[in-house]
Amino acid sequence: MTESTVIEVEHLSRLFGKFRAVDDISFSVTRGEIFGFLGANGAGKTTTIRILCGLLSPTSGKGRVLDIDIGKAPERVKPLLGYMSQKFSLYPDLTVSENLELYGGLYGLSSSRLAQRRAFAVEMAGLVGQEAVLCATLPLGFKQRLALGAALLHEPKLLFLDEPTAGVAPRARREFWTLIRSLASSGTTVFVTSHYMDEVENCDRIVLMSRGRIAALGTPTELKQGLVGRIVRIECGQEPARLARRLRAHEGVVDAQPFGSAIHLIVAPGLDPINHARKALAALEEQPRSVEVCQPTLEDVFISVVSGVAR
Amino acid sequence: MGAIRAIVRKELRQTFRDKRMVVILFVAPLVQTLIFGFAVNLDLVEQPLVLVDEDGTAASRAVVEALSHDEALEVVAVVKDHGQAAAMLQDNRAAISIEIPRGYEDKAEKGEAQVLIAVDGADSNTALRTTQVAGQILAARASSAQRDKLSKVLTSRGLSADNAVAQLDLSIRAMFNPQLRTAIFLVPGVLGMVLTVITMILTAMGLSRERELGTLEQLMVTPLRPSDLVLGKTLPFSILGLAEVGLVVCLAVLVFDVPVRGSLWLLFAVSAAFLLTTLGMGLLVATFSETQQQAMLSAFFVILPAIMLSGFVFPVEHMPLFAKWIASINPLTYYIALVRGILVRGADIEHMWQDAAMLVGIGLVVFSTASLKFRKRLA
Repeated sequence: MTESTVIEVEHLSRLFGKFRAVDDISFSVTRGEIFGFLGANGAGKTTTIRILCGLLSPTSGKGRVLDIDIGKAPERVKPLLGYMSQKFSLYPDLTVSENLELYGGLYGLSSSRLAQRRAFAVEMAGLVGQEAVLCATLPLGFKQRLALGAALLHEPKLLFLDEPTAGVAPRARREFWTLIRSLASSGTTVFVTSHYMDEVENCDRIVLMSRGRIAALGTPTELKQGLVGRIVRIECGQEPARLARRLRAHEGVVDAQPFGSAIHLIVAPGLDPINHARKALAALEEQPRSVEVCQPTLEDVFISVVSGVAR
Repeated sequence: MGAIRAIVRKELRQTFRDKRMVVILFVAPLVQTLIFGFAVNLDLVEQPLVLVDEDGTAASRAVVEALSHDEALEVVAVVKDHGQAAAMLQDNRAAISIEIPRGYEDKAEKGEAQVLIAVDGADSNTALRTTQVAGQILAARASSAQRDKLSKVLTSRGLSADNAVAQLDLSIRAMFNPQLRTAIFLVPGVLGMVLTVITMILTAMGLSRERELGTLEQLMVTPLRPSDLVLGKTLPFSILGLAEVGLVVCLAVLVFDVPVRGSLWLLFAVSAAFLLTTLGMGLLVATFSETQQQAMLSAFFVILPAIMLSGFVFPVEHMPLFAKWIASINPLTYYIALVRGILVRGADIEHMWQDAAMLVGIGLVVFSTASLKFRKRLA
C-alpha cells in the first residue's frame, strides 16, 4: 500500500448463506480519484460499499480503507468517511440547520467548527437564508446537495456516494457532478455507484460488477478501447427488439441490443463490421435505413461485458 | 456523550414538532383516564328483576318485599307464571328472574324451601354478581324466617327467645376503598396502560420510520455506537413517560379523588423500572419489523393480551392456569399491583419487594435482550 492508496481490497468475499454477494474481488483506489462502481441491482455494489464503510464484515479476504483494516477495526474507519445514499438521508421534519447540527454532533464537531462547517454546507447547497426551512419542503435537487453537505461536514478524506443522482433532474445532476469533480481535485477521494452511464464518464476509473465479481476495470477510454470499430449502428425503424433478437442468432454477431429506434450490433473481432452486418441483415431479408460504424459508449461496454460474463 | 445528546435533541425536536404526536402524548392519556374513571363503572346498579310468585302466601310476599328494597336490583314486574318471566329474559326486559314455587311457605317452615333463579348469562361477569346479590338477600330472608319459627317454638315452651337465638350480624368494611369505587381500582391500571401504549409504540414506530426513510443506515455509518443509538432513542421516551405518570396521577387525584398514600418517589422509581420493559418491547418490535405498519400491528399484538392478562380489569386469581402463567411474566401485572399498593394502600417497598424484584428482573432481561437483538440487526 503506497502513501497515496486510499482503498485497497484483496480477494474480498462476502457470503449470505450460500449466496456469494461479493465474490473474490480485488482493486485499489488512489487519493483524489473518482472511482465509479457499476453493475445491475444485486451485482454486489451495495454489499461492497457496506463492507468498506464498516457496516458489514467480509467473509474472507482483506480490505484496507485509509490504512485501517476494516475486518479488524471497522469502527475506526467510520469517523474518516463521508457517506451519502440515494435516499438523501435527511430528516424531513427537521430544518436545514437542525439536520446539519445533528450530523455535526454525531461526528463530534466542536461548536465553533460546526458553525463554520454549517455555513459551508448551507452555501454549497445553495440554501443561504433558508436555514429554518423544513427539509420535507425542499426540492429534490436541493435535498441532494444538502445531503452531500451533511456528508462533508467533518471534512472526510473519502466520500462514498451510493446512487447519488437517482431521480434528480438532468441539470441538477450536471451541477452535482461539477461539485464532485472540484472535491476530487482538492484531494477528496470519491467512490461512487450509479445507474446513469452518461455521468459515469466523469469517473477516472470504473469497475463493472456482475454477479459479485469484477467483470471489467479501467478508465472509460480503456474500457471502450476493445469495442472501437466493432459497433455497428443499424437504424431500422420499427420493432428493434425483435430484430436484435434475430440478429443475435447469426454467426459472427457477439451481441445485438436495441438502442431506442436503432440497434447496436457488436461483431466478432477480426471481421469487417459493416460487411458482416449487411450480410446478416440480408440473410434475414431486412432492409434498414442505415448501417454505420459508431463510437462505443460505456453502455455498450457494460452490456457486452455483462453478456460476455453470462455466457 | 455528545452523540447521545445529539440524538436525544433530535428526538425531542421531532416529537414536539408533530402536532399529532403532542396530542397522542398529552391529550390521549388525559382522555383515557377520564373515560376509564367516569364511564367504566363495575359497580352493580338496578339490574331489572322479574319475580314469579306462584305461592302467593305471606312468606313469599316477604321475599318479594326484601328483594325490592335492594339497590342492586330493580323489580320491573311481578308475574304469575314461568312463561312470562322467560319471555321477559328473552327480549332483554329483565336481566334476572326469581321464581317462588307453589308450596314455598310450607317448605320454608321445614327449612326445605327452594327458589329458582334464572339469569341472563350473556354478560357473565354481571350475571355472576347479580346472582350473588340475589342469593345473599334470599339466604338472609330464609334464615330470618327460620329464626322466627324457632323463637315461636321456644316461646311456646316458656323459654326466652332473645338469649337462645344468637344473632350473627356481619359487618363488612372494605379497607382503603370504603365505597368500593371503581375509579380507585381502575386508575392505577390506566397508568400502566397509557405508559405501555405510548412508550412501546413510539419507540417501535420511531425506529421503523428511520428504517423506511433510510436515516437508520445514515446513522450507522457515523461513528455513533449502536448502544448510544439505543440510549439516545429510548431516553427521551423514558422522560416523557415519567412526565405522563405525573400527569395521570394529578388528574386521578384532582378529578377522581384517588388517594396518594405512599411515596411518590417510589411510584416514579417503579415506573422507571416498568419503562425498561415497554421500551425493550418497543425495540424488539422494531427489530422484527420492516415498516411502520408492521411495527404498529405487532405492537398491538403484544399490547392487547398484556392489558387483558394483567389484572387491569379481570383479577389474575380468577384466570385459568395458562393465563396465570402469562400474567406471571407480564410486567404490567406487577406494575399495576405496585401502583395500586403505593397509591391506595400506602404500601412501602418492604411490603412489595417481591413484585418490585420481578418487575426489575423482567425489565433487565427484556431490555438487554432487545438491545442485543437490535444491535445485531443493525450490524
